[in-house]
Amino acid sequence: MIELARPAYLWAGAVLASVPVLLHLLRARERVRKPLPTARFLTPDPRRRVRIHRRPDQILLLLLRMSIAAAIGAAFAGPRWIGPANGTATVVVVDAGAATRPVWEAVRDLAGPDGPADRLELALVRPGDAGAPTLVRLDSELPGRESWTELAPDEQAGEVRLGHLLRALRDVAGRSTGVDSLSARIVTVPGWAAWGPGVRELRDSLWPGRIELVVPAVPRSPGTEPRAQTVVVQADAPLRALVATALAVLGVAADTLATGAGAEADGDDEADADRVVRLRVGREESLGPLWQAAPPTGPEADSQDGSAPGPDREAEAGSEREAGPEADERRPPDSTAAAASGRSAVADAFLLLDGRVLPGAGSPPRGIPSPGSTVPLLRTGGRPAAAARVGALDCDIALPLTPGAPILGSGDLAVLLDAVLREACGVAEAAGAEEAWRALLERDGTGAGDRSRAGSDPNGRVAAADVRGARAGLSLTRLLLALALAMGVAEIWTTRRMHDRRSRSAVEDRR
Amino acid sequence: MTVPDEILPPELLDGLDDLEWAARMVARGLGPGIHTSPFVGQGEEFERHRPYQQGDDLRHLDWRLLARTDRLHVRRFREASNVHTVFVVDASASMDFAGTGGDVTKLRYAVLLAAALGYVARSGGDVLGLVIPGGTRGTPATILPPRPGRERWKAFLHALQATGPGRLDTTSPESGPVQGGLPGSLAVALEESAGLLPRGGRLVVLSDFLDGQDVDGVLRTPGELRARGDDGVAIRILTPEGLGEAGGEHALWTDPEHPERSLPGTPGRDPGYRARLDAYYDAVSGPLEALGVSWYEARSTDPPLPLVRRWIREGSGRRRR
Repeated sequence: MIELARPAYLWAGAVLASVPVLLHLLRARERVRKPLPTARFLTPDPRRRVRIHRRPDQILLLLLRMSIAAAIGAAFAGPRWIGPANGTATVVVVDAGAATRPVWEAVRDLAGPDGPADRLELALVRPGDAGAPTLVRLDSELPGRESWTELAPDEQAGEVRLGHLLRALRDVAGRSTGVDSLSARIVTVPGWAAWGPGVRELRDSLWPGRIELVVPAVPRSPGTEPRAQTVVVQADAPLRALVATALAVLGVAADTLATGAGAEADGDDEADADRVVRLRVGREESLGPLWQAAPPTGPEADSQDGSAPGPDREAEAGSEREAGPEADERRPPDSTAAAASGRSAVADAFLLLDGRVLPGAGSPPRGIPSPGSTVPLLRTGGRPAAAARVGALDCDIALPLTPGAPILGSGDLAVLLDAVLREACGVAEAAGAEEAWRALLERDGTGAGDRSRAGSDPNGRVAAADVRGARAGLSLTRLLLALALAMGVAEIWTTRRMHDRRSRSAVEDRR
Repeated sequence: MTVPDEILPPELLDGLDDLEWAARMVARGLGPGIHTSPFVGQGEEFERHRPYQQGDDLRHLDWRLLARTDRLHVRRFREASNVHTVFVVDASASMDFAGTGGDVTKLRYAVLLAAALGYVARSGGDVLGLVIPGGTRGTPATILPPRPGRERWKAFLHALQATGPGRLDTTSPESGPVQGGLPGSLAVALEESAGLLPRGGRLVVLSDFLDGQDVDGVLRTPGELRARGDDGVAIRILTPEGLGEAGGEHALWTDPEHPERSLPGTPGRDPGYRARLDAYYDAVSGPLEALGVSWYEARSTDPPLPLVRRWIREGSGRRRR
């Protein structure tokens, strides 16, 4: 099978190939001119269709020109030989760490293939003692529930970083060679600390197939139902779904989605909720004051407090956040435990894990963004395009809509999520958390964020496969271009031959 | 012995570089006794020596030969018939056409035919002249007044051989190439040739008579010549395609003499085409024949021998007055 990297060029080639056909048709409409001294005695017959001369070399010339255009289009389409049809394979890597322990049963449901797959490769990644995870390959069938329960991580299990999961994904997927398509699935509940390298790994890796990240809705404390959080979305329908999806990827379980702008969760829901996240989506003009009110951020702001940012500050920040007056009113006690366990709600955790100190009037001095302060999440053209506004207990993600701008679609969703996560990485990097990640990645050898290092990964089967694919694509491209060149030479030769014949014919006609 | 017609097709004659040879082949193909023997006697062109006989005029005694050989011989001369024949070969653009299936253009066919007829006429003692229209200003490109002698015959053949597209205009000091004639040039050439002919002369016109701009001018000169007692011969040369016998392909047909005129059609499948063509030539040949001008029709793909044979059989274009 041949896979095209840029199928649009194939269509462009098809359009280009139609040009010679049009030219031939247009030229065929030209009348054949012949001399006849007694032409004045002819009965004019303009209605009759002029017979089109179709010599074999003309047909050959037409086919050559069409083939040249098609070959050039196909060459630019980036064809790659991906082997014969061998079906599909589903590779599932399950995070068997502390993150998925509360939702282990739900993880099993997510680990199975969605549809019929010719091959299933299932593996668990357990946190190791020295930080190096252990890869446990399972059979090609999903274990039964009892067996699955036995595989559940124990209470002392640590976190599994996304980098570990990606590396495990490579190892397991390496066994599924020769398939037409490869569906890779990672079942995890990522924390913000794990996202940075993972996102870069996703962004920088040349994965031959599609990677699907499945994030189950998890309670923030063991034994708590997933509905412990309430998300109130104040947005129009498409953006509401967008934000809800974003929150799902961010690890926020959204049980209640209020509909319509200005909707509010009822008081009972908020009272029962683990926490309340309010999302407000508005237009740019309504967010203008928000941008203006945004306090200075960045290294200057970071250096103001002079404290060393890092993961160690999470607990401190969490404790200080709990000290806020509004937190006492709106946050249930369970959230304290969640924050203490490092599994605090992602919206807040994002702001806490970055270690950034956002100065604000009357705010707690360190580690906690002031109520009403703004952290830019997205930047477009150097200016903030979306922002998270920090309330005492709420986090408003503001998505500005520029008048006239198209509604965000599914493609924009991917861009949005990537930008959100990129921003998270950047914030975390500025906070110094990157050092820990980098150390981790260097230790496990994934080389996240560095494509050259990813290609030099001794276990990088994916990288090797990509090189093979790239070489096959290059050879196919060269072959097509060489074919186009050869056909071009043949076209020139045929054209000259036809021109000479036409000249001779003209001389004979003149005689 | 009479040679079959198909032995001397126009393609064969056209391939001969020597036009006199081609003309002689045609004449010899007529068979013995067809053409008249040359008149020997008073004339300007030396024919041969003959031993002196009693009664011969001593003025014709070759004294130099007597001094060298000590024998008496008299000089015999080719006697001119006093019939001046001027050939007019139309070299207009319409004559430079061979048709789709032909190899010999109408002009080349006219040249071959003029050479063969000239050979026969000269053998009969005629004095030959030649006028070829196609000058750059509508005037004749070549004018050879009728004169006896072999030198004139050579010049006659040379001028014929030089006639054609891209050949030199022998009358112009600049000697530019002759690329067909101008409209009306045939009528001018006929007027020019009429001035070259004494009374009792003969005008032979080889053309397709498609000088459509000036048909009246073409008809005027033969009428004047006939009125004063001269003979006239008109040989119409057409290609099969021009006759509507070929050209089954639909195309945009362009008149070479008027390139701006183009008509779409199919000559071979156009009944109106042949009718209009016949009507046109009836309008040309009718008045000419009424004046006593002999009208011949030739096809450029046919061997010229039958026409030459017919020419001789009918008295070389001479008519009783």
